[in-house]
Amino acid sequence: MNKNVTYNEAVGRLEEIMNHIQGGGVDIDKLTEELSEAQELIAFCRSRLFKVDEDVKRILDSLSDAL
Amino acid sequence: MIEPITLYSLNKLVRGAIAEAMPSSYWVTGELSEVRETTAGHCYIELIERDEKAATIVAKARGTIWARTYSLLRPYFLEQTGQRFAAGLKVLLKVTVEFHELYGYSLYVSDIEPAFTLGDMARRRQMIINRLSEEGVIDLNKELPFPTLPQRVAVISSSFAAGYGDFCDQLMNNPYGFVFYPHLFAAPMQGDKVESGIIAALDRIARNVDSWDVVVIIRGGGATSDLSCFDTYNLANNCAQFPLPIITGIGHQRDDTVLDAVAHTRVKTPTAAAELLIHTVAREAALLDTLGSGIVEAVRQRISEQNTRLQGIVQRLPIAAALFLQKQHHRLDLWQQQAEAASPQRILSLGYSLTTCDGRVVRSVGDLRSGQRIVTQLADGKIISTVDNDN
Repeated sequence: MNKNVTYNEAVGRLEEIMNHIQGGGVDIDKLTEELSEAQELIAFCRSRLFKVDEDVKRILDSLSDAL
Repeated sequence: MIEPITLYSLNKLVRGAIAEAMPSSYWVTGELSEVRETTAGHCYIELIERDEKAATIVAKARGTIWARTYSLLRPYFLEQTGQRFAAGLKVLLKVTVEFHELYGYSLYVSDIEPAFTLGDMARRRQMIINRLSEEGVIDLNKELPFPTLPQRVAVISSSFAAGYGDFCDQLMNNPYGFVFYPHLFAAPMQGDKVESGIIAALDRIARNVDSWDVVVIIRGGGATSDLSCFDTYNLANNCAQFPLPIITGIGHQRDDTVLDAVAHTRVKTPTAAAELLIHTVAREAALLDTLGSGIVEAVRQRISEQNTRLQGIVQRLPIAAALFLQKQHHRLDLWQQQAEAASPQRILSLGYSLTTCDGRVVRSVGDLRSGQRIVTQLADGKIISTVDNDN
């Protein structure tokens, strides 16, 4: 998965994967591939919701200290 | 012949004349230009009237509210208007007119009509709102898309106010365990420094605008504090044009301030502002769950489709095989019939016979000489004969 993907892009890709699988467009042999990409994307999205991003924290702390 | 009277006597005459001429009380409108409370609890005011166009003062009077009256009027006015009884307000006062020999002309206030002040404040707010509408900026902040995940929160509040603490507690202890990054940009939340303080804080946030998702302007307190400081054109104009969505939670129950009117979203309290952010992230988390289970469901669906397809094949296979075998059977039967039709046994049974001599089939009379033994095969047995003649 691309490291620079944004949350909204990740959710967009998840919707794409769901529609793709639902629409029957996925070859049965590729299902595992799509499923593992989806799992990776969901894990990424959930980490945005629940895990403290130390980079973000550091940047924002530095902005506040500069006040 | 001049008969002078003392100033005291003169003032006493004036006092008597005024008391006689103006015995009742009057409801008078004016602007408070000065309000001074004494330690004894009395309140001295100065009431003025301006000429609307020239903005010059055309009338002025001193006034007194005795402690006994003021102790009732003051909280009543605050409760009704959300405003301290202070200079700058337009008021409607019930007064009696008196003249004192030493202190001169003065008004004694016995009652106040807060609705008049409220009406005037509303009118002023409306004027500012109209101006922002005419300039096309009133809805600019509202038109900004609200962030999907409003987690990086620039908070404008007073560092001492309970509101900021409540907000952070609510946010950081949210029941879902979502991550938020609130940071305080301190600004005074009451008094005449509010406008410049908030604008300065907005400027600091704007310097790293990409680092924040949303701005929250909050203060604790409730309906008991002065709100007119949030009703200024400059503050509203700055907020309306700010590039990030602004949420206000400045803790009051009455009509919107101008700041609320231009904000992207207004809520009543700091905790409600925190709830709004938590709720937004929670909605996104629910969407993510739905997507995740939707994908799993879709995969299950696909697998089950393929399974059904396989089962169909498994069910149809024996039938197809049986059909195939039947067909082959039929063909074999046919071959057998044909083969049987051509068999020597059948030909023999029709009355033909096969003659051999020394194990070889006799096809011509020339093959035989007299005296040779021949075997004639019929359908039901053999005849052994001797050849009598030569050909």
